[in-house]
Amino acid sequence: MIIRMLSLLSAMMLALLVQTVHLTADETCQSPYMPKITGQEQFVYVWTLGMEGVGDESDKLVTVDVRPGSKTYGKVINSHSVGGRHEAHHAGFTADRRYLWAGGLDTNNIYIYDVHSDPSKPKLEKTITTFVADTGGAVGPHTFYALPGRMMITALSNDKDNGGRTALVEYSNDGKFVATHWMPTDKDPRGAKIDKVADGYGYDVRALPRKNVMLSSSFTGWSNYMMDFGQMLKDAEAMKRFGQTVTLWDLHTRQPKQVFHVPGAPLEIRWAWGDNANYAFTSTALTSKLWLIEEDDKGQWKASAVADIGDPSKIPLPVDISISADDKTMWINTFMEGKTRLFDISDPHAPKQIYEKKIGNQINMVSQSWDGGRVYFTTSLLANWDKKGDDNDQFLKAYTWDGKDLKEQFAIDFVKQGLGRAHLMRFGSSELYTG
Amino acid sequence: MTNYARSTSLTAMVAIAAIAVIFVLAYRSWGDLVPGQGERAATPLEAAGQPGAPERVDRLSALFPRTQTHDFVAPIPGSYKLPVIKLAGDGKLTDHTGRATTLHEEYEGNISLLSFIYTSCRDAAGCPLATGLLFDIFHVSNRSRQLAANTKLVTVSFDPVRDDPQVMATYGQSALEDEDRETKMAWRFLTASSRADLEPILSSYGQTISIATDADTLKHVLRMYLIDRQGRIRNVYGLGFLDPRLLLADIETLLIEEAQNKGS
Repeated sequence: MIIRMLSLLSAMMLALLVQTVHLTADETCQSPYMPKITGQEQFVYVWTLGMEGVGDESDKLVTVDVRPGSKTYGKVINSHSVGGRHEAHHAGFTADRRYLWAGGLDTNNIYIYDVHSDPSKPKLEKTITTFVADTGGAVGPHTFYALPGRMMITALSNDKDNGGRTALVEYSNDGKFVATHWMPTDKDPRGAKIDKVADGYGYDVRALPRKNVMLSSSFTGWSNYMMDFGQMLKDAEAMKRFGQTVTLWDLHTRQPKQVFHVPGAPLEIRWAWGDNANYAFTSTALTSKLWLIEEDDKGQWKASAVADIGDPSKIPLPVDISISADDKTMWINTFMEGKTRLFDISDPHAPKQIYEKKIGNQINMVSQSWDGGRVYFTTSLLANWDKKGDDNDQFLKAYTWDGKDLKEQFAIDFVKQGLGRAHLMRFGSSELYTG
Repeated sequence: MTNYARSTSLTAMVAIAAIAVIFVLAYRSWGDLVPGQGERAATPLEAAGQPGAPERVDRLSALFPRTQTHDFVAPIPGSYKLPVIKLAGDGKLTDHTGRATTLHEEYEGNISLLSFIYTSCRDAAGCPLATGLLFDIFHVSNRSRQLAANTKLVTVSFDPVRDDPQVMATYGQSALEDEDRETKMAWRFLTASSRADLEPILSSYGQTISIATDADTLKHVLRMYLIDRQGRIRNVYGLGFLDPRLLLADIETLLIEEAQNKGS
């Protein structure tokens, strides 16, 4: 009995240490399979959309130096243009964190960068140009999520009707196609229990390995995301074509298990990090609500709206969210307001806003360091949805957060620097690849 | 590396070393922590061999309990597909007796589970965890004649400097000299003669090794690979998915697939 208790205590201590060594992360939104940066990030990679009239007008991967004390701190130290505008959107590391995969929602190109040989200067290693053919018609590679030995990629659309019906897709880390998993629909639920509707739409995907589940969300298809924003808002038929589902999958078998009804285009998904936390959040762009997806005491999964984000009647358009490492707070950006909000989510059933700050005329992405002390923001949502004229801010802004206030450390104007529309950020560090 | 990160790393290393001795007991005890179940009855594994235990178990994954770190119902073998990821790479190696071999020779005619380790690994959540899991699978394999006859474990060291054939023989001794080994799945312990022989293997499997500042620790991302009889990688496992139930369910899924292909 004593040996068993001692073993148990040791297991708990070991689990805690394993957590420390293996599961801490630089930013809090990455795949749990990846090696992590402990402490200070050295570089911020910004996947940037080309912009007409700005620089070479091409999509590019921009590297910003964020090493404190560096002579080039807060400066762009490298930029690699891929030539042409592909609707650069999101990017993600492989599970060994040696490569960064970055996608184009319009041309469906996927650019694979070597970020380990010289983290200050990512090198384009390979370009995948056969995504649509490989996958059997999926369009718009969006989220790049690391699994051991391969990438799980969400798509946004399809080549049949350019609508929102789409798939999850797997590629090996070598860039070879592995499998397509079409989203469940009302006509073909693929074994999933459907709460109300299964629209077959996709957007983000995130996994909770401990429970062998992953969640995917739903946005809209190519015909909408490539349309001018103002034109789309006036198009009643277009406005019907937005996702209203979050799907729960068996992570190991890639089989959909349940489709929750989450109206209003649920976008980013973030699982809580705690050892026993069986819940995730998502926010809905059109209805401006924070949703909780959780497993209850009986082992049943359910989704419920738990908070408003801003004033939903004004459609502030919540976009990116970032959960803290201790699961106590969450940054939520609203694109139309250019505002970030901090929510206390220590009670996930009753989130409360505790802080807000206007960052610019428009903002989209937010990335925070593991200790929460540094928070970065960028601006672009989609080339045809970004604001126009003087409201079309395009920047990377870096802040420190002391628990009370965001203090700006530097700002890079991506238009003045001839770069383009700043979008997805990922952290890099040479310490990942050395002893 | 910042001072905070450095002190955190040192503290973590000392603590891991201190409790590594009783890790195996901790791994066994983990199944007691499933919420709501309190003290559980003996698993089929523990009960196996006892009077009244079944002679043959069809789903070997059912022998292992659901645990807090793998808190889910294991998939039913054959109820899902394992797509081909890529061809499994080849390479020149040496077995524990010093005999030259290759990976493809080792895979020949078997469904294989490949793991990379180094024997002086002190990370209890790394190579020892992986090897402990493989021992669990090894020991139950004689509960299924089909599994034992058709599956092979292949463990390769990525430390050719320290892990020569004799070291590998010592590392695998309890399996190599298991009194029931003739009825269990084969288990091969291999090493490379040189870095030059090892590098193409590591590259092929996407295994990156670097030497830590202490010069003894080899940094790597823990991985296992399921390889079918045609020499194709069908799954890749990492930390967080090293659950014997999943590995066994996948092996059985491949066996079911083979049977279905023969019948069609």
